[in-house]
Amino acid sequence: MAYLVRRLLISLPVLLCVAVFSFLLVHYAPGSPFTSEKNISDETLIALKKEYGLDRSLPMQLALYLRNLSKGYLGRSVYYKDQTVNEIIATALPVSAKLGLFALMVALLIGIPIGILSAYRKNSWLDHASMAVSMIGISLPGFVLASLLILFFSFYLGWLPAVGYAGPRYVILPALTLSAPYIAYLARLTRASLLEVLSQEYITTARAKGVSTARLLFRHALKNGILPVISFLGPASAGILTGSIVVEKIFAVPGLGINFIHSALHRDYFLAIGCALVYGALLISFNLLADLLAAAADPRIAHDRAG
Amino acid sequence: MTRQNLLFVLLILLLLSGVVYLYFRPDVPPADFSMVLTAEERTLDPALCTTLTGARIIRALFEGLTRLDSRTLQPRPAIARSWEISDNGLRYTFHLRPAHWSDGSPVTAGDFRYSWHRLLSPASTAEYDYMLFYLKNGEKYRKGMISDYNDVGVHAPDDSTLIVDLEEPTPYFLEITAFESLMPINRRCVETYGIRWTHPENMVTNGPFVMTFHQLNYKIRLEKSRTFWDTTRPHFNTIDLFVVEGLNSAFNMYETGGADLIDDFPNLIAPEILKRSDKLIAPTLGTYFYRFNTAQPPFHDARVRRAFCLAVDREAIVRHVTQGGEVAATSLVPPGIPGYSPAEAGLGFHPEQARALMTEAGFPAGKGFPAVELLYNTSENHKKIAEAVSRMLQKELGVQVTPVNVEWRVLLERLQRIDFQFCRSSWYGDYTDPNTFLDMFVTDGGNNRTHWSEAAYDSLLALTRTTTNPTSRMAFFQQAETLLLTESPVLPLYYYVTKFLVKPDIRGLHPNIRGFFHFADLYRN
Repeated sequence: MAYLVRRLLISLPVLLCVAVFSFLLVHYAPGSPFTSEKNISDETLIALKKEYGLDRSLPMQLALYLRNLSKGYLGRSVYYKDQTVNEIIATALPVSAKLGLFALMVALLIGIPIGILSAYRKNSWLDHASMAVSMIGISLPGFVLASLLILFFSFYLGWLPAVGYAGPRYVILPALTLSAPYIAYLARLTRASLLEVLSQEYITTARAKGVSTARLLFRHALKNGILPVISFLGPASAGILTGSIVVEKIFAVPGLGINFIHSALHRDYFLAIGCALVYGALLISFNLLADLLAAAADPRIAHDRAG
Repeated sequence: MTRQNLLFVLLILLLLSGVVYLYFRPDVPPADFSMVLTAEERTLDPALCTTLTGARIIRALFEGLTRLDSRTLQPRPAIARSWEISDNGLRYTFHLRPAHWSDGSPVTAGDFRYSWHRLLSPASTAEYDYMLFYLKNGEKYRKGMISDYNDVGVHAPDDSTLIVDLEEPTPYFLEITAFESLMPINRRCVETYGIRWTHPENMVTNGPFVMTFHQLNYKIRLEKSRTFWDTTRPHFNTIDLFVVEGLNSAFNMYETGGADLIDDFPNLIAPEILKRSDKLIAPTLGTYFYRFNTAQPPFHDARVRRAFCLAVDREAIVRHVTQGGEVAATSLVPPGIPGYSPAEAGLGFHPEQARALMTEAGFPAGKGFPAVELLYNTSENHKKIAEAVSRMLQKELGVQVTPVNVEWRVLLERLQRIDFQFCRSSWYGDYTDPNTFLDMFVTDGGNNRTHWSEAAYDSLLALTRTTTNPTSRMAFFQQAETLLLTESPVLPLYYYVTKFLVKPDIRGLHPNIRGFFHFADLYRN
């Protein structure tokens, strides 16, 4: 418990740094959010700066931003004139989160069994085939895989919609694209760690006592062999959530990733900082969660920390 | 399998079904008609919106005094049932028809007066504030030179009469009153909800549709308004506008039946598309051009600029680079404005003439010509064009032009500061009149951005503002454009085209030079 509190307390200054650094970065980036192809009159420019508080000095702006932040208010989007950053994040984050969670489940449900199977039938054609496929899964960039999936499932077979976000059928292709590298990674990770456990003495002992291979695998080996997979879950979840940017764009999924790109391109100061903060918070919490899970699964880790 | 493992599997299945459940909420049935928007709109506030696509949505939601016929682009009565124009062309008296807001309250002349004040008031953040500088004292009020709004030329003697006084006779003023920035907005709604007034749960509109759903970067749902005065329009009960970024994804959506209309397609497949029957390609009032910085060498010399203009083979560019049916430009103002034929200034591919001009300017075969940077913003299309142009210039004139790629926001800022030598630009006309193009290049004009200044040009443009005879007015414009093209502060490359892909059973979409249509006019055969 004390550990949890300590970790949470440490994360606060980290987030503050994220806020300050991204604030300075976007403000010092060349180009202004208010330039336009058509000339903007001085009157409009002055009114715009005033409306967004950009007519004040930079330290003053930062102070105001941090004061708003302490109240949980992330400011108004400079680009989307009718929206606050809170509203944008509140609608976009759940979309990314749902897609990410689904992709993670897919990755786990496919990746771990493949890993177990490969370890179980080590050096068989099945093992080689699945490891080869997973190598491709890791190396293939998302946009290539997405195009191939669209070509096959939408144009060739006509089973799934190519673009959009109108219902359950629409998330299958994005989720597959998003989870592919993680399926591959999880499969290899599970296989490697199971093989390592299987070569240990207690397994040999169990085997000598006549334990069946299946029972050996599930009852004895998987318990320890799954540990690296659990610690991988933290970075994987964060990676899936933050890595959905390309997938969101190709499949037109209205998630946070697309807002993150836009905010940078459009110099939407407050939205950019807001997104950076959300992603920062996500990374921190997922890593914390993974540590807690690992501790729950392996008492030695918890013990180390207590000591 | 042991009990523990069974639990593990069950837990995963449970989680999975939870996730799947999240997705299985029933989506609303598809709309009668759907279109893809290739970018999310910045705002749906008529006063603040500046994009062509946004304007289409605003025309579905609001209606101004007049509206343009999508076939002829001529102004037609809308909220104004009729009007009188004084003999000197300075006073317009509009008579409003009985019309209602979507909350049931009547649309009054006072609503227009209020909305126009919102555009002109000192706190206004509208980029199109100058659309009301046609009003008497409109510009003075905006610039704080006068402080009493009653002195501005818009008055509402009663609920159904709006009297507008102009600064100068403006032959296209009835087109301006159809412009989206001048559409009325509901005061109570704006004052109650602040920046959230355009959210679907708050928005009060007076057009053929109301907005019932809007999720950023996903979808806008429009539904037929129950209070709209014209019972013959719109034809569709529901319209979905899907935001799909990236032309490839947009095309995928159209091609797989997810949308009835897209307004652009990827260049890569353009040659294929041009063979299809569901395309609607029409010249439009937009020009792709390069600007020169005329204050600095080497482009302070008009001969050099003119030589550049004559050394570029525009036909080759539209045929082999853009490929989407674009038209090689021989003028800045695109053809198609009624009553106006663009200046013939010999702008074509004349490498011999170009070389002679370069020699005259002291750069025979490009000798001694400094290295020049051609600035463009990140895009595959702009990159290919810039590369093609610099290769042509290298080949024909022996000059070294290096394409330099910057982000859009950076390009805009450098354009504004005129911090470039040679820079990509584009312009879409705001209304169907040469003035929307030529007005740009008056001395110190906000959109000039070339440092080019020519007294003769300025006086020709001034003449067009005071001349009431339409023929001589157009003649002055033509003289001005000829002067502009001879002096060449700009290098026009091609005219944009509207590139619609539309399902064959959709009607009501007419090719015109503005890519202009009303959602309310569309129907399915």
